[in-house]
Amino acid sequence: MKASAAVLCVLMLAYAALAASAEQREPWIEPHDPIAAANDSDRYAWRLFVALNWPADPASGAPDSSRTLGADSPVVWQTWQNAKAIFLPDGRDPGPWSGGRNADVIHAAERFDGLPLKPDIPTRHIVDGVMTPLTDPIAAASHLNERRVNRVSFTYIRDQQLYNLDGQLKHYRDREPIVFPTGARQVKAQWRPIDASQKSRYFSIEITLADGSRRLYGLTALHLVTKDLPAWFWATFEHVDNASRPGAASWHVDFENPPGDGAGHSGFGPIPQDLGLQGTVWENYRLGGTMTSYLDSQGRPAVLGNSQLESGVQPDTVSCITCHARASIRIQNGDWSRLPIFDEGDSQPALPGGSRTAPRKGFVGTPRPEWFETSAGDDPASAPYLQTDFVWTLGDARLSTVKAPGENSKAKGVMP
Amino acid sequence: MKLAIAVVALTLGACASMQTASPPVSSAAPETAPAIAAEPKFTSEARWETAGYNNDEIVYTILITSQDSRILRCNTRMQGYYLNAGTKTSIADQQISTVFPNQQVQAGIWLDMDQSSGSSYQVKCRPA
Repeated sequence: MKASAAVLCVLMLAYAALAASAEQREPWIEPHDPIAAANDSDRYAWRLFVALNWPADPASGAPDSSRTLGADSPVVWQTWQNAKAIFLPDGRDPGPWSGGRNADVIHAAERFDGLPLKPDIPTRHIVDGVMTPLTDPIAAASHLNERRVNRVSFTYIRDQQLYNLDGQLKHYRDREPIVFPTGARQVKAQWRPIDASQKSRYFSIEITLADGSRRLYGLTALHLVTKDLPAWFWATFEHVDNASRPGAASWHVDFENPPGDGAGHSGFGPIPQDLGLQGTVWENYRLGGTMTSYLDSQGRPAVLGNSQLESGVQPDTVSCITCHARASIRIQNGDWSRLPIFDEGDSQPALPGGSRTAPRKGFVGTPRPEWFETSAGDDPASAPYLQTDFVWTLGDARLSTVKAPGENSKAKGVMP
Repeated sequence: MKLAIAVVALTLGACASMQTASPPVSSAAPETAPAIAAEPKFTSEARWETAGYNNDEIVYTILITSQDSRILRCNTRMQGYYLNAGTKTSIADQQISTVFPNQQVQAGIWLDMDQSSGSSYQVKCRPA
């Protein structure tokens, strides 16, 4: 009996060693390792970074092992489903997974988050000192943000009908928890216009603008969020040029003097030497930090954000995990609502007209139960907020305006 | 000369109601009607609004709300500032809006302005 147990133990160790070895040899394989995520977070973040930035097979979206890291091609996460293609304005079913066809084929206006133009409202911006009609918000934006989810996330959103408010509110009414499955993954990326001379230092894309011209953009920031842990695994990367960008000082973006292990800031160290980053555009990116819990080992609120993606928030008040814990939905007095992303109560008071001169404050530390509870004045029948499993992207969902099959004929049937 | 000024003032009072604001105006035009035509009733309000991912884009907008039974034509002038290579620089714009009875319109949305430098606006409306 003891002998067989020993043999089993040896076999398991050998399997683990082989698996680890395969990961080293095949860096394009996405790691799914909760233990590494929890205990070796920075290393795990870099492994994810390499695998998700591996050139993708355009047909399947899978990593193309025949190509090398840094090859000029869409990468794995770029084949994931774009949030704007999931949460449609009329709340309809987004249809089946179209991974592999998402990299470049969708129009820029349907790909990036930004100010939506309203055709009946004159929208103006400053060009050469003159207020000028804004015809292409993408072209006018100083940066572009996009969010994408992998197939596991997408399938869950679709199966649970979380792509519209109707489905999310049904979860609320039924008190049916929203829990993404292990393997769910999401990214947030920020791009900014770059010159052709900078292309060798950036992972870049070319975007067709409304006037038909093409413009080069470089990846400046990347969040990786994976359901390897119950409260997800959080990692953020910055381009080295961010250190010299406006506003970076307050974010302590200093790659020469990394902050070291602190309240969630574990990054800004050197790039790993064994993952093939050297000699590619990816050597110009640095791990800003990882996050796996609300508090650091000394019980202080953990803080982590990105100087670009969270530029509008006070740096010391940014915690990915705490902010996203507030992702929620509720019906109160007949109307639906979500918890605010920002700490409006403690922020600088708004000026007349709602104006504000200081960056907003986020939430840090352990979530407070009272955030989610009903309070005095609430409809007694209303239930507490239902958390949406750290996924703020669900906040893009709209009420469905699509009629169910037969609804029209039924309506006609009651008409006089 | 005094007579001419009085005529101009009467004409303006009869044909247009003006609201100048910084901070925003919230009162409607007086309810007492002049002899020629009632002054248009409306309110206006300027707001700095956040937009975009993480609300990191700040835009300036002016809302006009009609409390009148007539269609109004409104002329909105705004003045603000932007930072040109770090230098506070003045910028102005003007928009014409049609406001239907008891409806609200956004006279415009202005981007790239510096919120901390302040802004002002003026809305004049007349019956269409």
